[in-house]
Amino acid sequence: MIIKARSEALRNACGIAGYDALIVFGNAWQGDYLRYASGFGIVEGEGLALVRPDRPVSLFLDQPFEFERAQVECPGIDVTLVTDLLEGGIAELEGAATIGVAPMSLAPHHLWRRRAGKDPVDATPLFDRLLMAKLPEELALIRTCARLADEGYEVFRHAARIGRADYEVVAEVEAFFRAKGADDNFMLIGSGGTEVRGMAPPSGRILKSGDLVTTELTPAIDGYYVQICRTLVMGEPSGIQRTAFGIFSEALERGIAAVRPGSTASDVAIAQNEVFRGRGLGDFVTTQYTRVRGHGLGLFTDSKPPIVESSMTTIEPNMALIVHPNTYHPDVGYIVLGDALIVGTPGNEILTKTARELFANQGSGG
Amino acid sequence: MRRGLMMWRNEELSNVDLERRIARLRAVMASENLDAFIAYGNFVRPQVIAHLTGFTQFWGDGLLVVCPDGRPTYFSVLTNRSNSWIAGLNPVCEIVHTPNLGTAVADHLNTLNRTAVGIGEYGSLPERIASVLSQKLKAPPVEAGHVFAKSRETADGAEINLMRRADGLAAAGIQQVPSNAKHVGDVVSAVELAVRLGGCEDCHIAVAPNMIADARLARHRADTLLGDVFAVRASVVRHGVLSRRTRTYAVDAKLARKLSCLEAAIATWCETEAPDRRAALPLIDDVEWHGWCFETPSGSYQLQTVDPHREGERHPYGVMTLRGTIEGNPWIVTQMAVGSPPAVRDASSE
Repeated sequence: MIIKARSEALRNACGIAGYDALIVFGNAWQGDYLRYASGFGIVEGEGLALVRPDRPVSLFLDQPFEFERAQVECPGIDVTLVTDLLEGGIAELEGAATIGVAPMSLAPHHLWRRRAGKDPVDATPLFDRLLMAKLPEELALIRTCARLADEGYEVFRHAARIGRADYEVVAEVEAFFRAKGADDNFMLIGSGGTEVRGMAPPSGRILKSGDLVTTELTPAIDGYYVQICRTLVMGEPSGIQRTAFGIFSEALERGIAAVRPGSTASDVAIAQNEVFRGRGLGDFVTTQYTRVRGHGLGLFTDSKPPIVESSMTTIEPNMALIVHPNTYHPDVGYIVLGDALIVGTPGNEILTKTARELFANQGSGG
Repeated sequence: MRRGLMMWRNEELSNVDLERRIARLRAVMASENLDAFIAYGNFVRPQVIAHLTGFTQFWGDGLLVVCPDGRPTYFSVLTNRSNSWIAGLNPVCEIVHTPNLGTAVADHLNTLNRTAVGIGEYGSLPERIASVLSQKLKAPPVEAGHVFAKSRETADGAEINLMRRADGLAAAGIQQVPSNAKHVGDVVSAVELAVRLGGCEDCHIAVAPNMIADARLARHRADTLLGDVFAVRASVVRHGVLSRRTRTYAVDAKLARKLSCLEAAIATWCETEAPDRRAALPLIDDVEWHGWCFETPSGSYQLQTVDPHREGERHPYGVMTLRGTIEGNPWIVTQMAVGSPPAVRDASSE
């Protein structure tokens, strides 16, 4: 069972670090640490898991319906409903001298005010190593989810038609993912021309002839997210759109080629950005126009490491990543293109199989 | 982590509605001698900021600062690229982008010489922000969750209308459960498609596929078979306002009719103003009541379960979930309810 494998890896890491206990926080946005430790995919409210060397994992939740759901979905876990997460969690830590906390970004102010004794230790870096280098059981789920991401893009391609509202396209894709058993999907969409600077949740915009329609689809199976990014044109792509897309295609290939054990996230970002700089588009790979050139995949849609030029995180075997040189092109607007992969030796395993082309969609109507 | 349609609809929530809400907050701030109120928001704690600005957090987190005068300021960790998107959904605020929320807000308030600063749900604020605020503000901030709660004890018309719209979407969604549904995936997919096409901002579906074996609602594999009695809950958000509907379905036609009658009776009961609802639950033959849960938007969560033993709290509306058995078969019903939770005599709260 995957939870058993993860639990063993986590306890080993905590033992090596000398923690008496580990407090793990999670919510519906950043639920990866909590899910790794407890198996529970939180949807509402907040959760806290206690990991101790000699006891089963305890999960504390502050929403009654989530408590009920956790009892059904995580039968081996000791689940408690509390009105105050810390009151429940800290009460059980009597006698624990060294306490780790992950992720520190979610740790609430009360933790410091209520906890007597030594301050908790930031266990986020330790936990991040576990989240980044995947276990064989995790890789199997990621491969399954990648197939679903490809199928989802096929649904998107056919749903995006002239005259339809963007949220209707999203509705069709989400319904497909639910029918296939995806427990979540992180999805952004953009449509239009040079006025579009990025992607966002749907806004009700009606798709028009000539629009570039961008999306990143990120379905999850048993909590594991895999992403795919593609761009399509409403109608026949223009020459200038094809030329612009060619730059992104080359950047993606260069980025993937730079992914190898021992290289850094920075190397992967630079490999992509150099393609743009070589064509006088260097401004468009700065933070004014784009955020990251890819990122990790796993129990969070935007996992570590971020693929940016400043990230010196070493690429290791069995990491799952998406490489995506998504950014603004001044001639045509925002373009996205990205594929998920597993870092391997000797070569990477490209997970998403959808053709890397600028798709054209001639259909119209709802 | 799924967002559907996010757009500004002035006919559902206008700038005037928001300005009135901010004025109500300022009145409570004045009575508490506060010269600044800070609200934190993220994906799961969006409600205070959504109520005061209309903007629901999608990615990252943010802080809203309301002073006794001037436009409120929303500090967002999103980059400038998102500026026009946020501004389109948050028309009442100045918008500031910063990677360091605590520092930016402390600098802002110190420049304005604000010293009596209250923070909503201060203890839940991430330490990375709280520690910076407590170090950099001119005076230690105080807990001010009650200030916001007091400012919204009485719902305004826009809020009730939005709640009814969210509730209507959820109700329409669970009507779409196919009569020939065999698996959980058939149900969840149909409901989700309907509520998203209806323009919801977010939705989550939970199912109890075989109520006779286990009446708890959860997420199940898509290929899980449905039993003779099953229940579906749709939690649906419209413009930052969350409602839920749960319906129990039966293959047996006679039982299905009884469940429909029960649902109708509960709907009438939930539409009754709270003081009149202090009477017992409606009496229906063969129905037993086992428990209830009342959720209301009182804090930063979109809905929060109300402690029925806490006296003196007023709530404008909420969502009522009731459970029981009918002819020995378990049922669950969730409906929007007007007013505070009832003092139910013959069923205990969960």
